Amino acid sequence: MLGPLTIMVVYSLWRVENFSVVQNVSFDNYAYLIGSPIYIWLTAKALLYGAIVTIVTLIISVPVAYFMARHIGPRKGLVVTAILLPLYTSELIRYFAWRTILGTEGMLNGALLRLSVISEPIEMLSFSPVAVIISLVHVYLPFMILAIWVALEALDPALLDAAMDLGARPIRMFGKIVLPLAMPGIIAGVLFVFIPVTGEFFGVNMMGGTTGFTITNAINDQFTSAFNWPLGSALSYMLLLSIGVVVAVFLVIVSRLRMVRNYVGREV
Amino acid sequence: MHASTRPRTFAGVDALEDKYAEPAPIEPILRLSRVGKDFGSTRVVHDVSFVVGRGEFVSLLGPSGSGKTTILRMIAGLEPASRGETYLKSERIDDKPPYERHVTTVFQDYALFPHMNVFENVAFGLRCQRLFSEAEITKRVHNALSLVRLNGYEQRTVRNLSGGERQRVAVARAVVTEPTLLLLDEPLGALDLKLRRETGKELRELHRRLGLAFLYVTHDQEEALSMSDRVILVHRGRIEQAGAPAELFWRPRTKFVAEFIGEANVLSGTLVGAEGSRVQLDLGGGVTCLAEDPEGVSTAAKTVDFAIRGERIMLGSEAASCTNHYLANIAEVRFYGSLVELTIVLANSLRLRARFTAGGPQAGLPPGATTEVGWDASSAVVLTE
Repeated sequence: MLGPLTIMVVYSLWRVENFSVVQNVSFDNYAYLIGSPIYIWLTAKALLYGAIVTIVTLIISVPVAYFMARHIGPRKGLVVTAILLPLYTSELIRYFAWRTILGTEGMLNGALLRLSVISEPIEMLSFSPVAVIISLVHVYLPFMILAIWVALEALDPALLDAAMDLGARPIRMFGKIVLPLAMPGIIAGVLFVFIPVTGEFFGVNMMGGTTGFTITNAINDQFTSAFNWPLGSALSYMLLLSIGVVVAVFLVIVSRLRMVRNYVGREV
Repeated sequence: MHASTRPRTFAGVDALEDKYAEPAPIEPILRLSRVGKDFGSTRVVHDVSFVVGRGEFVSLLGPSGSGKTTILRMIAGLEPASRGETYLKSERIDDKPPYERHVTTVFQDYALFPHMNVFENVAFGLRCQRLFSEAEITKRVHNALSLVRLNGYEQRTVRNLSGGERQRVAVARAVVTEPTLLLLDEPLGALDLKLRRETGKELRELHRRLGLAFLYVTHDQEEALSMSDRVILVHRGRIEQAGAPAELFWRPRTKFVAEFIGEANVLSGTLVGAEGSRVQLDLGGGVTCLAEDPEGVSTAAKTVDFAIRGERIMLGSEAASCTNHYLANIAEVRFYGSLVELTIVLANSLRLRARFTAGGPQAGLPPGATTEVGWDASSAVVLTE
């Protein structure tokens, strides 16, 4: 693990001149990146995709996981298998499936046209941020659901009885009991989804076309086309660092929440 | 004593008879009328009717699986009833969700919120009511905590509390909202024996101070008898008998009640003669016995069961003055500390267990001794089923 990372650090401090690597240690690559609006924008875009996909999966997963934990008894195995099923198929197949559904001449547009809901195919469905988000949400949803489900499965149903018994209406019960106790699962799920989605290369390109271009494309280009490994390494580190900063900020905010702070429990 | 004249502390305590025959002497806080519960095709609770009066301490006593906890959960609204009507004061509450019923529960394993400290746990119910300022909440939580002697525990996390402390937090959390009725679901079950006795006394004391009606679920007959004003004995989803603890103990109506509470001797015989409510029963082997038959169920054709408390059996010279007395052998002597249990065999080889205070004159007989054994007709109660 640390080996490649260390090599990358060293590389990122070198430079390329006349198509060959010059082994002069400097921070020129990083200075160049920070001064370059295009690389900053591409990094921000990767983080933005990560954030949006994480938020959408979170919104879908909490009720689904809650329902699974509370209302599905003997058929639990079946439901878990159904949720895991997408993970058994290749990512490539899943993205192609979404392309046939969302394409300009795809199934969704076709159906809407035939039902006369629309008169022109919706262009926005294919090779657009919307397509990226829909397909990435689909691909990463199982991770979020499973993480939250495991947390909610451990939730003692007697606590919900006690909350209602003491006068809590469903919304209060959800906000004050279910959500705080699901927090460990939510945090795990957010990390499971946010980190890989931000670093996603394949999916964003397959589904987004040019709109799916993020910093990961730039990294890929530096390594495979431009053969500027030092710059590629520096770009990788910029992405890694920015993910690290976002995750750290997220964890700090979460741990400051009153409900979580109590859960983590400071002794007085 | 005859069935119609049998004193009853409460109207409506008995599912087998018309519950509306007599008015309740105390203002009823809770009234259940033919409440039943089915899980699928299994009938867990048959049509159960009873009343809890203002300030009363009532126990639902029964073995595990008897349906007592289900009854409690139906009253709290955590389990929908399949049939019947439930009234809190004069208000019908069957269709109300739990958060609209002014009833709170002390749960079996306390169900304290693990992500909240003691203060927040106790304040939870008050916050739900949205009636109080933060200062008022603080004041009420402090009062509730001092009621259970947990002052200064406000900021503790519940995970680090002992079993007894948790139980007291659960009680404080339930009473802080000043409910109309407090439900307790085996609140001492998770504690060890010594703590159970102490905490039981404290609960009883708390009940007296608050003047709040308590409905207490337990499988422990000693707990139920020692704490309650009235005991409702539940068996297989039905009320077997309800009444004051002493009434259930000395005047069991059914074989189940006789055996469940204090392990009475249950014998059987056929009717050979009757005078008023007093009957003469043939126990076989030439042994007859005079017994009390308040409901008049004994016949010559069918054997009936009757119960004798081991505490009511006399030995030696005291036995000679009893209505029923026989010559018998002591088969076994067991020493339990405060009491001694003797197994006695009659001439027709019927075995009886008799209990005596340790150190008393009757407790000193050795195994194998032959002695006079006897009991009064009023101590032998014919059971209805």
